[in-house]
Amino acid sequence: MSGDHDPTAGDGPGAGPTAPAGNRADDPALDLESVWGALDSLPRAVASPALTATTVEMAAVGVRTGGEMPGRGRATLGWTLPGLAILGGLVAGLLLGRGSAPDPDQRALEYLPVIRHVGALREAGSMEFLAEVAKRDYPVPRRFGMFGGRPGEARGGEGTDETPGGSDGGAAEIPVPAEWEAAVTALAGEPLGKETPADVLARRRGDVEALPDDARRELSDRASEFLGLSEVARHDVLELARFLAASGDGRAAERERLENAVAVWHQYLALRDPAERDDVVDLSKEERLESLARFYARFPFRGQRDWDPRRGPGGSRPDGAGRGSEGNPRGTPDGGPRSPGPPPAGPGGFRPAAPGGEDRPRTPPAAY
Amino acid sequence: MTPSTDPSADLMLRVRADDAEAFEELVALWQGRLVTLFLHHTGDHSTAEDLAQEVFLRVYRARGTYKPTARFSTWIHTIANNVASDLKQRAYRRLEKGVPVSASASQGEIGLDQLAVAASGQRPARQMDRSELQDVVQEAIARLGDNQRMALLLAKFEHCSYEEIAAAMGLTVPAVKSLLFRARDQLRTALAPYEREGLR
Repeated sequence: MSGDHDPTAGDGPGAGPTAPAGNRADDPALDLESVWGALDSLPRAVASPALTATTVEMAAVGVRTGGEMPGRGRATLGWTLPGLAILGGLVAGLLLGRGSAPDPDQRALEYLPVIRHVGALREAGSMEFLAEVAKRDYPVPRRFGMFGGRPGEARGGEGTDETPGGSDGGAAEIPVPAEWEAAVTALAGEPLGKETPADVLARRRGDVEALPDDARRELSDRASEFLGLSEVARHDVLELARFLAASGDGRAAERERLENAVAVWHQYLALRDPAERDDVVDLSKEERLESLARFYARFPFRGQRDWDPRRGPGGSRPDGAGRGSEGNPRGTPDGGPRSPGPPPAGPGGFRPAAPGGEDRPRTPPAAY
Repeated sequence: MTPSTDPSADLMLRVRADDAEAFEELVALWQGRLVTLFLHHTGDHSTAEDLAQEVFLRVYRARGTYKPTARFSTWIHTIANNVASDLKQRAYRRLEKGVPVSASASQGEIGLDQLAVAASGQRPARQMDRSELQDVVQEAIARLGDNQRMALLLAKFEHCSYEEIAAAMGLTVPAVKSLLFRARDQLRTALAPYEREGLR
């Protein structure tokens, strides 16, 4: 069909509702006019208040030296060149003992707490992802007989207890990853970015200069990791870091919800094949949520975070808050070992995150 | 178009000269428009913001190549269309990997008949309020082809001429006219049941 017949186009594509007088009511042109007018019902979006700031920040941090135009003036764009040099400066400057070099490393120092904890922040993902996980109220998955987490990172109930609630039979305490706790501690109240005061920058510079060589090398690796993140991932990391930096007592509840979500995600990762964990961390928010949903779909829990399998289906917690009817049909009344038989097939089956990867945990989570 | 008649081009020239404040102003000036464009292209506000941000980052990275020989809007619309196309490619790659795509952006060119049938099945007996109309129109737009949808959105929300849309999308003007005509025709089909009951 030829576009030349567009009856509402007028002189341009946006010149829709200008039907000539005398058109009959059944004139197709009037139909198109109304369609064009119907589009007016669509809302004009309002960008998030932080979008400008994060975009400018990402442009500053994300631009690399190789992308600069040769011969371009460097003094006018205050954050650009430090931004380019930041992490390169950290690698080349601080690592080589030029810790006192003023400009090249300033940008790195502005974000030093983020760089130091980029691994934990990147694993956690984004505020959006964690909020969604928290909303779903997943219990923390555990490998039968032990936490699946990495050594030294679990707290509360850690060890060989076969029950999710620990030997006291109470509600399971959520093992927050040690890396996350370290990030929370390091970021709390820390200024980030351009608003970082000079005295804070000086203190951070001193901290870096005081590092032994191997620690500086590790820091430079993390700086490279930070720079290597996609723009979206870097944005998410910075957003998360800013939340942690700003979260005072008034935001404790929200932070706790996020921490619970971090624990769920971290333990889920711990159940994965170590070789594919990085691939899983790299998944988008939607893909992460989907993989979690598939995982939990195989083990009914209905949100009973503190369901005690030793009481089995129909049991209740000492405080009477148990939701026994929603209990795990796979569980045994005495909390004994559950069959590690094959997971159910069908829609709940787990999709490998990477081609050829086996995404299926070897044992079902002990808690459900 | 000389820079003096195009404020965005003026800003972009300052960005090209490494003026950080100009970039911030440019982002502030354009972010609402781009988020709106991508919101109606993808159906998801969060994705729309991500895509708008990606456009700005590409603008920044390419600032050295900017020449004010054409309208700035044409330049940024070209980048926006490229970003939208990349999104589609990523969606295809996800499908190849077996990950379902939730966004409407890749559904394209299917389901108009279904929508019309659905519409007739739930034909409202009263004048639709704005919210309902909005849902119906969004649903109809989501079912357009990617190029149809982008061309339509550029025309409707960015008030682009045929020539500007053609330049932004790398198409000929007749192809754009055809795209737009078919897009509107399909929308008319999809919305007809509602229109009879009070679309206007």
